[in-house]
Amino acid sequence: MANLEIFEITGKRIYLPIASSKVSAGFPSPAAAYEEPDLDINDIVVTNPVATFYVRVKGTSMVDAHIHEGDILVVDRSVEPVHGKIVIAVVDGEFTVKTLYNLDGVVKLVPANPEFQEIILANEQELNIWGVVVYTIHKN
Amino acid sequence: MIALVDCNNFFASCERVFQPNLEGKPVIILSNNDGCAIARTAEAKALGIRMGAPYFEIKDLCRQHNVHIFSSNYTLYGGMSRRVMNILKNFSVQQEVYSIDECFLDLSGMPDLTTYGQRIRKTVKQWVGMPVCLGIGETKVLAKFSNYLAKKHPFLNGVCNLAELGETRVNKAMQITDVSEVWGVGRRIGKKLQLMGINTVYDLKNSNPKQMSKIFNVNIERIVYELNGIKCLKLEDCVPPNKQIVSSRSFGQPVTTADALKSALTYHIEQACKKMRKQGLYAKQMIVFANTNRFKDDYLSSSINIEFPSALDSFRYMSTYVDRAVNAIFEDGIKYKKCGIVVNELITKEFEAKDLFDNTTIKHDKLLPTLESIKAYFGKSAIKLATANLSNAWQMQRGFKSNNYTTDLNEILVI
Repeated sequence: MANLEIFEITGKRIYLPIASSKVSAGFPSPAAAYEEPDLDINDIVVTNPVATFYVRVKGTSMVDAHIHEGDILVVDRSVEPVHGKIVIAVVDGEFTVKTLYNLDGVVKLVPANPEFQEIILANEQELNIWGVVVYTIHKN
Repeated sequence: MIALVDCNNFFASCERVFQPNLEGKPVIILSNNDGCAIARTAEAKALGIRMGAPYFEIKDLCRQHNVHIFSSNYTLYGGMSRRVMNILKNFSVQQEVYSIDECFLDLSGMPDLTTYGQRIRKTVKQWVGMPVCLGIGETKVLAKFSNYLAKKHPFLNGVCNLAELGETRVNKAMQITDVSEVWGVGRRIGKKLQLMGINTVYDLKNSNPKQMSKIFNVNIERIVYELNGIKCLKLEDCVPPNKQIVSSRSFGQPVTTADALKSALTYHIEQACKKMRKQGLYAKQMIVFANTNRFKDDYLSSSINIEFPSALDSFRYMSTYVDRAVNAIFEDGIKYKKCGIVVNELITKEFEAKDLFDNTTIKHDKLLPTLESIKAYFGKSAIKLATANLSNAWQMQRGFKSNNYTTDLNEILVI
């Protein structure tokens, strides 16, 4: 006898039922005691959900860093924006995604495309970092 | 020690997180149907825009001073609130979420509270971009007063710790603050107190609590104790379950058809059921109402009370009464402005099993979990009752709504 079970859904994740059919005869599954939840991509790309935001990419200024138009960036605002990180910065009230250069008192936002100019900032005070890009979701 | 954490101009600050060019500029948020201003940034307040000012009255002023206007986007604000509260929860052994933008934290045992408070503030600002103020005091009432000081005095840098401020300065601050600023006092009782010569927070603190209890009520007595640092009010982990649930809303434009009323009511039933299911409640009856514009002479309001044969939590079952309700209250030629439902006589599941003297039964809808799963996975409008789609003439006007940046993949930031 098999009975149907409703999938439990939390948010957008689907959890497949761990034991979905009753077995009334025969041997019980030898795997039953070893069941563990399936891997979830959320656990990989999101470490701090309350500080994580998603952003869609427009433009080509970061193509050499494998960030393409239409990609979705996973932005974690709780990550420290240190030299070398790809960041979402606010320049003159506008958002931009660039690589942060912050060494020996030189602060600039560096594009990953030779056709674009660096944005040089007078000092660290001028730097307004909105968040750090931790993953790029790109559809092949 | 208890802290009250409060977001600064919460709705407007939510909008600024995703539009940083609004920093330092006047921003206002309008109520449902873009009726009146319900949130203002400091810059907007400085222009003289009052809380609750009708939009048509301030339209010209807004245009003249380039005020940025938003329709309220509660999906966004609710999502941001959840994030803020979750961050704050981790700083404390106990949290009481008091409203969408403020909560109490029990900071007992934490060393150097001023520094700790600054750390909380910095974390919330960095992680979600939300500016908050903290007031720290021995009781909830003192924490609330402390928060008032933190907001009022820029030199405190957003964190006011009464213990650090010291008794003399705290008393001084109390002596110059109007008694109606005290949490739980309000304007009406404040006026009465002033007639009795109790004008300031300090006066109330030094009043006789027993006498206050006699003249007003036990709540005012507790406030007096709390002002003196004696704890009377506990932090509440969870809000007691609702006695009644209301879902209602004004229409974007006057509604004149029965179909539009039916669709609107179907929506409200679904909203109310969502709230009921979250709290595990079942309704024994509902009141369905519709009314015309309250500010016009021919104001008309009609309602009908519908009792269910068994207690329900299913929008499917409850919607079957929509036709009957609308047939009873709808009149041709009337311009309806608002409709809604009130669900009351709410019971919990335990009630059904325990009460011997009431033969209330609960009628469970076995299809609900499936419907909820479909909505959770494919979006909330993936499956609907047909009555919800009869007419959309009742929908809200939200001409200036921002994107649902945190909940809808099609509306996230584009950079």
